[in-house]
Amino acid sequence: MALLEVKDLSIELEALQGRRRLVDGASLRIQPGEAFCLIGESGCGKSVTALALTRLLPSPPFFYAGGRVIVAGEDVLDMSEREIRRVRGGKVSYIFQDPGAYLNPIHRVGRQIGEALALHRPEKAGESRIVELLRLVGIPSPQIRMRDYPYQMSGGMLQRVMIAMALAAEPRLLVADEPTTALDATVQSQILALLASLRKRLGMAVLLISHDLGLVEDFADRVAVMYAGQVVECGPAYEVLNDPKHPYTEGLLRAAPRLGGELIPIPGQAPSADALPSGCRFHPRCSLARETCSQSAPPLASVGADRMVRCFVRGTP
Amino acid sequence: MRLLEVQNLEIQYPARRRPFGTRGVLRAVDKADFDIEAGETLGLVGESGCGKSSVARSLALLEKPAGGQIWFRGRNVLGLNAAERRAYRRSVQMIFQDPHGSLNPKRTAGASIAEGIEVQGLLREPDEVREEVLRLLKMVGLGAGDADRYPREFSGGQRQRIGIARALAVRPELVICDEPVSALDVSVQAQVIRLLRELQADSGLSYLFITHDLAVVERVSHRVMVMYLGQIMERGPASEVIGNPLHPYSQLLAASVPGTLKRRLRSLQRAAGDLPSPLETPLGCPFHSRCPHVENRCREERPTLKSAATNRQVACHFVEEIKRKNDGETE
Repeated sequence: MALLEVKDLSIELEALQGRRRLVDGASLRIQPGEAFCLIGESGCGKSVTALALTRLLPSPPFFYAGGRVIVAGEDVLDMSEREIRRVRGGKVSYIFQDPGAYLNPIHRVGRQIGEALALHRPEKAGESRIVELLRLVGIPSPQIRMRDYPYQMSGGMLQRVMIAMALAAEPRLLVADEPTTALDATVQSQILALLASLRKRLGMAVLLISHDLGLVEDFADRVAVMYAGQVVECGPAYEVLNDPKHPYTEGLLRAAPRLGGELIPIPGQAPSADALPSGCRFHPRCSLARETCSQSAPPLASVGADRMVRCFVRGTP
Repeated sequence: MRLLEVQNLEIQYPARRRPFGTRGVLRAVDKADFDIEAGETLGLVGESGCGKSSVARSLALLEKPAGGQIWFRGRNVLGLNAAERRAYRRSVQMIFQDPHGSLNPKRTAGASIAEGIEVQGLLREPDEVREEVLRLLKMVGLGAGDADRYPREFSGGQRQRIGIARALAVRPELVICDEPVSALDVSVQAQVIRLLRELQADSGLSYLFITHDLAVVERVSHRVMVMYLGQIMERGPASEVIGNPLHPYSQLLAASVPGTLKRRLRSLQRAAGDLPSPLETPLGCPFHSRCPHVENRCREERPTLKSAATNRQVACHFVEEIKRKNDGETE
C-alpha cells in the first residue's frame, strides 16, 4: 500500500479578484521508504501541495476544492482537527528553506527538540534522546551544542537541528521543502547526503521539493514535475532525466546550468494563476505546440510503465 | 588591454564577536590581487562571507578599502578627485541580485533607466532621452510599451532585464554583476545569461561576474577566481579551474554541484564542517579546518598565491602533491 496518495487534489485561494486555482488536479503516490522529488519553478504550486498533505493551509483563504489526500490509509481532508494533529509531525514532518525562521530565538535548541518529543513521543522525552537525535543528524559534541541558542549556530547546523526536530516524532514521511536553497554549495551537498542516509537508516520516505533538477539525479527514486499548478510529468527519476517526455521537463533540463553543458533558455515565462492560457498551460512557450494544444487541455496520460505525461504531442506511448 | 587592476586590496569592518563584546576587526578581503581585460568576463566564485560582495562594492566605490590599490585604465581610482570619480562611476556599473529591491517601486521602468542618463548629463533633450530608453529596452528584449510600466508589473526576469538596461544606459566599460541570476527561476536564468553574453559580444563590455554557482560561472566566464574567507584560493582559465580544480577548496566546490557526474571528485570526500565565521578565521590557511589534505604547516603558515601551471595560481602549500595525485588518478 502506498504511504501517501494524492488524487486529483485541487486547491483554491480566495483573493480580492476572486478565487484562483493554485493546484489543479495534482496526483502523487509515494511508497514507504521512497525518495521522491517534486520539481517546479516558483509559483507552480509545489509548496502549496506539500502543505496540503497535512492540511496546513488555513481555510479560508485556502479551499480544498476537490480530490483526496490519503496518508497511511487515512483521508486527511476528512479528519477532525484532533485527528489531524496526530498526522502532523507524527506521520508527516516538515523541514523548510530557512531554518532560522522556524526556531525560537530565545530558547536553546535542545529544549525545542524536547518539545517535539514531548508532543509526539512522550515516552522517550529526555536529554538522552535529544543527544541521540543531534548525533543522528551529525552535530558534533551534541551534549554541548544542545545548550546553544539558534544564533550561535550556522545555517547548515540549524538545518540539522530542524531535521532532528522533525525526526523526533519518528515520521513515516519527511517533507523537505527547498531544504538546501538558502545554504552554501558545500553545505548543501552535506545536508542532501544526510537526508539520503537518514532515509536509508530509518526507512522513512522523503518528499524533496525543489526548483533544481540537479538534485533529482543525486537523490530521488521517482520524480514529478509541476508547471502552473499541474503535474505535467512523473516517473522514475532515471528515466525522466534521461528521456524526458514533456517539453517543459526537456526545456528545464536544457536551461539548467550544468558543468560542461550549453544553456538553452525556455522562451517566455510561467503564467500566474489568474491569467492561465487556454488549453495546455505550457503551449505559449512550447516549440512542439499544435493547434489542438491551445484549444483543449491535455490529460495526464500514461506512457509506459509508471510514467505519466500531460501532453498531446508526447502523450502517446 | 588591461582595463582594471587590483593590487593588495584589503577590506575590513569593525565587528564584535558577541553583543557588547570587545571590538575586533573582520577582514572581509585580505590582500586580493586580480585584473580584468577589456571585453573579458572574470568570474568570482565563493560562498557566503567569502568577501565577494565586498570586492564588488569597493570597485564601485561604495566602500572604502582599508588598503591596496585599484587601477582603472592605468589611473589610480582611489586617488581621483570628485569630477574624475563621477566619470569612473559612469564607467563601472552594477547589476544586483534582487531585482525587486534594486528598482524604485514608484518610478516607471523608463524613468529608472533614464535616471543615469540624466544624472550623468549624457543627453539633454527629453526626446533624445526617451529614444535612448526605448533603444535600451529593445536591446534587453523588452518592448516600447514597457517604459511606462511600474516594477510590480514585471516578472523577476523582466525586472532583471530592466536592471541591465539601467546599468548599460550610461555606456559603462565594466559591469559588476553581483549574483545576477541567483534569484531567478531556471528557465529564466538561462535567458538572462544569454542576454549578458550577447551584450558583451556586441559591445565589448567587461564583466566581473560574482556567483556562488560553479555551473553558472563556467558558462559565462573567461577566467575564474575562487575566494574563501577573504582570500583568493585559486585563479585561472574558467574551463581549467572548474574542470580540473587544484585547490582542495575548489575541488570541494566542484564536487558539491548537484547532478554532476564527477564521481572522481565526489569520492574525494565531502569536507566535514561548515564555513567558520569570518570573525574567527583560522590561523594559517583559512581552509585548513575543513581540508582533507591538512598538515601541520597549514595550521601555522598562510599560503600565498603561487603559479601552479600556465596562467594558473593556487594558494596551497601542497599544490604540487595534489597535482601529482590528480595526474596519477587520471592515468
